[in-house]
Amino acid sequence: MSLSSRDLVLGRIRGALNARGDADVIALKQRISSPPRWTRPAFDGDDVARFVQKAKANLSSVEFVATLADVGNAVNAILQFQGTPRDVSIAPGLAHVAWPEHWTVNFGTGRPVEHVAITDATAGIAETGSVVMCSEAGRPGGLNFLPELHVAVLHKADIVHHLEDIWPKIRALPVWPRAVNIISAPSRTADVAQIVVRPAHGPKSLHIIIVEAEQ
Amino acid sequence: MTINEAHQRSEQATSSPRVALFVTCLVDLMRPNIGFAAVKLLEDAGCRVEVPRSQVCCGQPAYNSGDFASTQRIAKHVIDTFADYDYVVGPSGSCMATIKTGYPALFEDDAVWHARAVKLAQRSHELMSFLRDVLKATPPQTRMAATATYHDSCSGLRSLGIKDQPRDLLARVRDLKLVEMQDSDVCCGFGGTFCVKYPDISVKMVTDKAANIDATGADMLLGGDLGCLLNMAGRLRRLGKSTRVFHAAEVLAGMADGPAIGEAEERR
Amino acid sequence: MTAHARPPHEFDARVTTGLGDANLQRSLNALKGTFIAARGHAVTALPEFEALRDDGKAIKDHTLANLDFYLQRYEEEVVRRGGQVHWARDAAEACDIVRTICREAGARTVTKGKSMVSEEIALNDALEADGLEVIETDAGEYILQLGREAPSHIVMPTVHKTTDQIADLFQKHHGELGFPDRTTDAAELIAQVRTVLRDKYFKADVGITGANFLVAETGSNIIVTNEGNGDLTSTLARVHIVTTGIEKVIPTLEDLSVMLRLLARSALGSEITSYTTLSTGPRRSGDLDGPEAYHVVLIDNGRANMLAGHFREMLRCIRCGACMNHCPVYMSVGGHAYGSVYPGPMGAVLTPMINGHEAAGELPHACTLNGRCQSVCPVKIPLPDLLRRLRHQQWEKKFVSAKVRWGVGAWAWLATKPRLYKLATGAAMRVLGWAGRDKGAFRSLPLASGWTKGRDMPAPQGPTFQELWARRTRP
Ligand code: SF4
Repeated sequence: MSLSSRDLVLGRIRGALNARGDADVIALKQRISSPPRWTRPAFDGDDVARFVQKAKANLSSVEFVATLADVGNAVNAILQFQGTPRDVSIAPGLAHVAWPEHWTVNFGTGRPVEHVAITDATAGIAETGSVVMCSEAGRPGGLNFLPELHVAVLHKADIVHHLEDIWPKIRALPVWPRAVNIISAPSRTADVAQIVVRPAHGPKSLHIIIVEAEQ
Repeated sequence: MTINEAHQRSEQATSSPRVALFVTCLVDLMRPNIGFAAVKLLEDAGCRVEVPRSQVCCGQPAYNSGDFASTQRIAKHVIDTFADYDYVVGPSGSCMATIKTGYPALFEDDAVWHARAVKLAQRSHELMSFLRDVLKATPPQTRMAATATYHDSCSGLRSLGIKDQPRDLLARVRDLKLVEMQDSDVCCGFGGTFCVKYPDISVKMVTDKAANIDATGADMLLGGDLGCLLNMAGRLRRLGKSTRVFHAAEVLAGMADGPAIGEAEERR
Repeated sequence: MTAHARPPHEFDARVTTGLGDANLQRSLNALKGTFIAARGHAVTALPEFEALRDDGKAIKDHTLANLDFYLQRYEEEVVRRGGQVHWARDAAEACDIVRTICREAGARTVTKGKSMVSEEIALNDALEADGLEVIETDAGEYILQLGREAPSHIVMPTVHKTTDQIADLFQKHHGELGFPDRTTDAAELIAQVRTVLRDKYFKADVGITGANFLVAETGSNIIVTNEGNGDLTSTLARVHIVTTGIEKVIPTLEDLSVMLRLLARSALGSEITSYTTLSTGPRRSGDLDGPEAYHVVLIDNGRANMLAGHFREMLRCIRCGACMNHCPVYMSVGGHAYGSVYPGPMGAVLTPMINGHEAAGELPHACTLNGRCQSVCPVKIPLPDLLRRLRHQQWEKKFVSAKVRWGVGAWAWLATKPRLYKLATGAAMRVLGWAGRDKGAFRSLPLASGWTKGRDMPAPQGPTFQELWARRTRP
């Protein structure tokens, strides 16, 4: 059934379009491998400063630490301040980092009740203040959406200028990830009387920790 | 006459363009004063104005109702009627948009008429944009002691880009103060046959418009399309407002001296 | 519940309802100060916006002109990454495909992200008829599902609902779920949704989402949300099904970047939504989460037929809703008045193309052709021109009422007969001018009740311009 529908739909489409020669097909394939350069919003100045400014404007919070090893203490300080249970889910790919010993840590995917989750970003985008999370064995995608507080760890060197600049990085991964999540703000909705409410289904807070040290 | 004089005279003749006034059927029937104002503005700007007698309507009612065959017949009539002039100018954004953008589209499958339609389109202009952008004219100064607000009629604004032209010209009128209303670029609800086919929606839209007009405190409403002006004047009157409604050309030509649109004669 | 083609002849009645609904009027008015104002700011803040519109149009035009190529490339990439692609010629087949996938997966519970195309094909009805528990997860769609209502806007489905109405609904449905007290606090209402739905995501066998875009280069579907519901739906269910129209495909990630900039600004006035997600196939080996199976249902349902000729332009639509937000008719009557899944200007074009002129009725006519929609459309769709062409189709099919045909026809006939025109109108204007000179306008006029119901009819000045011009005398 589906097979014939495929032919039928493609047939309808071809019937409406101009015929295509071999040269055209080559040109189309080329357009995929080297797409046109479209307009990009111009902005100058330091990408890191811009990233921070945009992320904060979108109501994320941002903090700098010197090395990856400092992330644990930084998060611990927040949990202490908020009085949040030290029951933390951490992306398994970050298991090698020394985390505070008194934490209960779940290196796995997210659970229905998740106070805090720490995941690491593939890139940050200065244009929009977004972090880019690519799923893989050590980076379960669900962790980005289930916690109340989502802590995104971003290496300073991974901050790129435009949205377009993340694509070469992702194309260079060994496999194209199941999920690429471009996360730009905490979860929100305005479906009740246009009143903005945070959170909706995802994290109430997005805390971005920028690691200064080279990896 | 010396050769030199003859040369000068022919220079003058060619430099003063021969302009056909496209009166528009609404102005012809409802408010001839706008037609006279248009003629005066064009003549003051150095045009030789003629009013072809066989003109009637641009065909918008048929066009916007989807009756393309009738519109084509009307368009051919208009193209024939206005074939021989340097310019065709009308005091309406929507009629001139029909001629400028609608006619060429109507004849997309007919090379001969398409070419003729394009030729006419290139020579056709809405009055305000013709005065300011083509002739670069500065009309003789007139006086109008009033505070006015200007409604941007949709076709003129979006099909022909008419926004600053009338405002620039009106800025020269002595003692006329222009104040902008909220949403001056939002449709007044006229829409040709729309206003009688969907009276409730149309009245809701023109009520919003009237509120925006009223909120400016202006005592005068100006615009460049008689259809919209009739609609807004009609609603303002029904609401008991005393806002005076004129076509911008009437004010520019110093011809806003009689009753405003929808106003009784003895008032003045 | 899904809304589909309510009887077109009830258009007038629905308009009356919309105009008389004080809550609706208040909500629509509020929209101007929130999302519409935000769009204005976002657009002014980006000097490149106009250039991006041109780019967006060029990208879609190029893709549509090569749609078969890009769909096949997209399909290859999905399959290469372990997903399956199904093609559906119409709504019924699309529903059947989804039902079959659900049946084969042994599904009982289905979570759904917001998807207008699933409304278009009435998917929920089909799945519920099979005994499945279907749960909308977008907060707005969830509210409407509880109220068994249709969305009234393609981006803000609940724009017609007041907090009080939502409070009543939740009290009725959430009472047994641990929320006995009625609340009108928006944050508390949304917190209830969050709590109620959290378990459902984990329980779901199948998660269905739409797609804002499909990228041929990678075989990805892209969804943008602010809530995060789409991601929980697609990540936590065992099976992820994407339902999408065939026109959503674009060539590459670079093209996607342009479209994302246009979409967020046009829809909500944001630079970017909270979540932009590219989903590509099922979980990879070693992944700890993500669906075990990934299906895409590519739906034609009238789209391929739009490719030939002028209506191809409509296939550029990215469903941002800007056209309805800037439509004075939509903003007067609200989305339900249209009686179609897609309301506003884009709906008035799409409905006759998808459901036929019989179902669309007079939607293409209920518009002043003012063009504000086109001026904000991120992909520059000439909506008024397309509406006029639909009127033309209806005219040719004789769908237009005899009264209108006669009136327009008579005027058109007269318009090429200058002498007759002068005879017919000259006398009439004199009479009207004379009758109206005392008051300047008429409160009522025979045959003009449509006009005079809500406004006076300004009186003509008397003799026509042509008569006066012949004598060179001003009125
Ligand atoms: S027609 Fe244009 S403005 Fe309207 S929803 Fe589609 S893309 Fe947006």
